[in-house]
Amino acid sequence: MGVWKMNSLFKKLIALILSLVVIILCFNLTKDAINLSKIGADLGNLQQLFPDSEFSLLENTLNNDSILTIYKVKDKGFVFKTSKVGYGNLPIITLVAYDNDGKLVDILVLQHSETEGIGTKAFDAKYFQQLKENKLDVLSGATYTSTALISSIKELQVIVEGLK
Amino acid sequence: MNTVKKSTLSILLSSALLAFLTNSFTQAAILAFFSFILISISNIVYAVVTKKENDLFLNIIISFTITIVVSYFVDAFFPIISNYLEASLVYLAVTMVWFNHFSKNTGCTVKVILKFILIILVLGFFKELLSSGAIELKNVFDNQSLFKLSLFESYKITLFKGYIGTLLILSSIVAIVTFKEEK
Repeated sequence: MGVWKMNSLFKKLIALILSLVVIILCFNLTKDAINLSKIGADLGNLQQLFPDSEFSLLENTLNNDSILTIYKVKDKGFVFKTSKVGYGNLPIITLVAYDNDGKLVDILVLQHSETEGIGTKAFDAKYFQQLKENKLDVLSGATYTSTALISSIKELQVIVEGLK
Repeated sequence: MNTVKKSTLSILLSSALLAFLTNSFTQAAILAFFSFILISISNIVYAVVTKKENDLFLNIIISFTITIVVSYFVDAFFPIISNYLEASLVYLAVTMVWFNHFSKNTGCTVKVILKFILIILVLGFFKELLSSGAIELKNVFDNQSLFKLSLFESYKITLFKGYIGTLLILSSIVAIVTFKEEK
């Protein structure tokens, strides 16, 4: 009985190790292709922020749920794909670009459910220019939306300092 | 309740639960296709590895390993499909554990998998039809419509979308079947 139990336990251990080996092998086999396909989905948008540049995916080790992906732009800077909650608890997904000196280059809004003409005022080029000049003031009438953008920028400023 | 009835009931429940995650007929078709492939593979591997007896530990390891490996390959080579599957993969893995467990007792796997797929497709079909008044099957790779049938123009009832939609459609189907049986 004891031998049988040992045998059964041994079999389970072998199965566990084998499954881990298979998972690790498949992870390594597909890692580059996954990175490429992830960049592929955002490539058009990334090129709007940094034209004629080379992008690579940085491993996201930050313990921050609002930062979805981090891209490194060769010799130029970083782009962060972020998700922040806007009006009605719905996500605002943006690409936020920084240069190597830690200066905010631009913001591109990819997805949002903000009220047209009210919350979307925070997506105007004029307000983005204000944010680029580091004037992080909440926009009256678009409080939720601008607060989401400002909170994202404040978090990223700290992260960019660490990545420089 | 005998084992076959228990297993059929669990299959019906799990397919209905999986249908909660679908919002369109296209998504339901993708889920049905992947369910068939994944459940079949895990069932064969489980049968080969465990021979006669049920072993929950091995069942979980096999089902989850297959799910993780498939998710890597889908993410790498078919990222568009991964958007449709992402939310349901963990649930699909749990379903595979259910299938493996019950198929050991009943031995009627293929029949049950087909029932499972049919339920997902039927629920996905009615969910889209009742929420938008039309039914559309898309090619997910280029987002082009393969087939579209518009029954009621400018008809939209959001109540039939999401979780509540599945529940409404499911209860309607159960009510119709029960009424038919009583008659």
